[in-house]
Amino acid sequence: MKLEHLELNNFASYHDKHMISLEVKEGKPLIIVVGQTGYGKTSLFDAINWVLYSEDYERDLSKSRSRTILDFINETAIKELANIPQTGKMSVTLRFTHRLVTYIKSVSIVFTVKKNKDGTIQAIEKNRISSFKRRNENGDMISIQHEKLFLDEILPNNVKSYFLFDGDRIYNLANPGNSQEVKDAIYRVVDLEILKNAEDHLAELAREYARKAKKESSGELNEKQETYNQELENQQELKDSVELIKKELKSIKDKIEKIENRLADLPASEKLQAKKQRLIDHISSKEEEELRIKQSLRSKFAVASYKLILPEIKSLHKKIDDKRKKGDIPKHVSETLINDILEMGKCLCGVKFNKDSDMCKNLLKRLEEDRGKSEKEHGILRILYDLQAVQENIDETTKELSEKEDVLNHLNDEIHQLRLDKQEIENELDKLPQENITVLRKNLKDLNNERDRLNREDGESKILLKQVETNLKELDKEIKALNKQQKTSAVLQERSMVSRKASGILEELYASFAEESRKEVEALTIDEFKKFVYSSSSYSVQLSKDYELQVLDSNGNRALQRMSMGQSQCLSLAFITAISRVSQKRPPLVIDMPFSRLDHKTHAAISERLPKLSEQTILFLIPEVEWYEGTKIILTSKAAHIYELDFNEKKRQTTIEQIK
Amino acid sequence: MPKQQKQNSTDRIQEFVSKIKDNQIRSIVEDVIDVEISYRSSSRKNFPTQKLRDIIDGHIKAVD
Repeated sequence: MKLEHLELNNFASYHDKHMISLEVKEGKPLIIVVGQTGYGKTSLFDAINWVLYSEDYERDLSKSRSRTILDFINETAIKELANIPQTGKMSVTLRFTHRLVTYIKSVSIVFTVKKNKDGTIQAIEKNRISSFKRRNENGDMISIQHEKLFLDEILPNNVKSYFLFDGDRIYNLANPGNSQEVKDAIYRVVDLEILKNAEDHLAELAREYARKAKKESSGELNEKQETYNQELENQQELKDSVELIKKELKSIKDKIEKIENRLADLPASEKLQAKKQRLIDHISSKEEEELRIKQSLRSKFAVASYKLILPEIKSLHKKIDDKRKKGDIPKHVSETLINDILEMGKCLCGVKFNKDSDMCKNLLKRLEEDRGKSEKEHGILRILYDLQAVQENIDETTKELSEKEDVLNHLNDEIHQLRLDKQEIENELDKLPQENITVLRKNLKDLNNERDRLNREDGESKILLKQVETNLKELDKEIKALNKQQKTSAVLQERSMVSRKASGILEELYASFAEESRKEVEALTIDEFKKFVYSSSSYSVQLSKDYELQVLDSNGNRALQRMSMGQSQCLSLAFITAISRVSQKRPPLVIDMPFSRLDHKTHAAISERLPKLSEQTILFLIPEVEWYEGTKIILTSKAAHIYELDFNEKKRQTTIEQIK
Repeated sequence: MPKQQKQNSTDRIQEFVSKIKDNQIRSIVEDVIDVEISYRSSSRKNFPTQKLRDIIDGHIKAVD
């Protein structure tokens, strides 16, 4: 199947008619549509799905996105009809080829517009038209009667999600514990379900014929038929039970694996949590120290601020000191000394004098003259000392401030670094589970016990099944012998036996078909995965008998959970390519945002491989994030067409520009 | 639907079915699988069990 041409009319943000060629050429299997989020990429994806699967897709929309197809009618188209009693139309037409035949599938909704009391307007579906035609040898378009039957042969609805998918789906397939998803993909895509259903329907038919045979029989044959029917019922019950146990076991195994993976990550998580706590404590103590220093600095700032007038203080100190040295500032004689001399009545040189002498009078006069000078000189000296002390204080405080500033800067650097370390740990922790290890271990223990119980039950059921089969064979012989007299019952019994035999053979066929498909898918997945990334060479891929997509490292240890997101995505793509090849359906791959969760290095690796995955791959990419120089260089040369979407915010409409 | 397309899409199953040694059972299984393929593509409401009865009846009569 190859998509060739898509035409939209009033679909989502595409107002009126828009056409887009999807034709690919040899060596150019890619179609690239680039557009920002909300510009209408996914609407193209929706349009392809809707036109192909109509009602089935509408059911999916309602289930997964709670939307109806009427939500896709273009806003402007609805507004245009608000005051006109006319009908509008939303439609999608897809032209594609399959095995050299051209097909055109179209679906449209005719609508009117209703004004609500609250002023809102809404579209009301009036009519729905769909058509599916193929071009015959003469070039005429002929209607296809059984649309579903036909499409099912090309790309069945139940497998389309493995070919028309988004980045998240790719990522999920290769996650640990998703074996059911992987099994479903193989089961549906390689048609295993057809064999399984055929086996079940024939077994049911065998029971139905056996019941009828019993009704038609009498005597001993009737009794044997009763036993036979009972054994058939037992056989079916045991088969159902084994099937159920198998499913339960698979689900439990998946759960166990998920928990084991989480537990494997938890020690790392715990370690990081402890490290984070240590960092938080460290940051907190550093912040307290910072606060203490800042508080102590506050009291010093006032003193340090006098540094601004330090030159004036110094100049004043110098002026006073100079004056004192010059003798401009009066010096006084010590009052105590003069008083002592007057008291003794004797000079220092030993000359005696009395109170009436001139010497005594002179001394008293001098004492009187110098009184007060002493205080003045002391005052000036105190100012000089104070000025000296102020200078020293300012110098010391300034020095202290400078030292503390250095300490603060250092502390700031330390706190910044610690916060970065903490952020780094938080980023790592975001990737790891934050769970209660005790609860997880208890759950794991319970699940292991349940698995053991189911395994025992499975073994017992299988032994019983063998016994029932032996009983049925014995009864077959006995009934055959008794049937010779009762013709009608004999015919019915034969039909039952043939149906049972065919069902049994289908059971064996199913097992070998499933196993062969698994091996084929495994071999192709291994091959594809190796081609995807060079770093994958250290890993070996396995698809276990339980359909578990597993990756082992060079030591044989499970490594799926250790793989990067890019490697996981490559593994999923390798798996999807493998099932597509095994199924021989050769569908196009339509991938919405394949790189959005990956780093640029992985983009390059996947980009190299994407053109080789399918004969046609349609990619919806986000500019800059997914569509940038790196991917442009690789993908452009392999693209048949490249389109850029533009969105007019005012009109809320998308336009398509073809850039290649 | 053209027979050719149906055969192509179920090539792998046909290949497996052809390995059934018992001619009668092989023929029954081939016909039953055709019914299953048609049913898979239908609305999946009522399985056409009568078609399976007809297949079994037809093959047993053919042997008689």
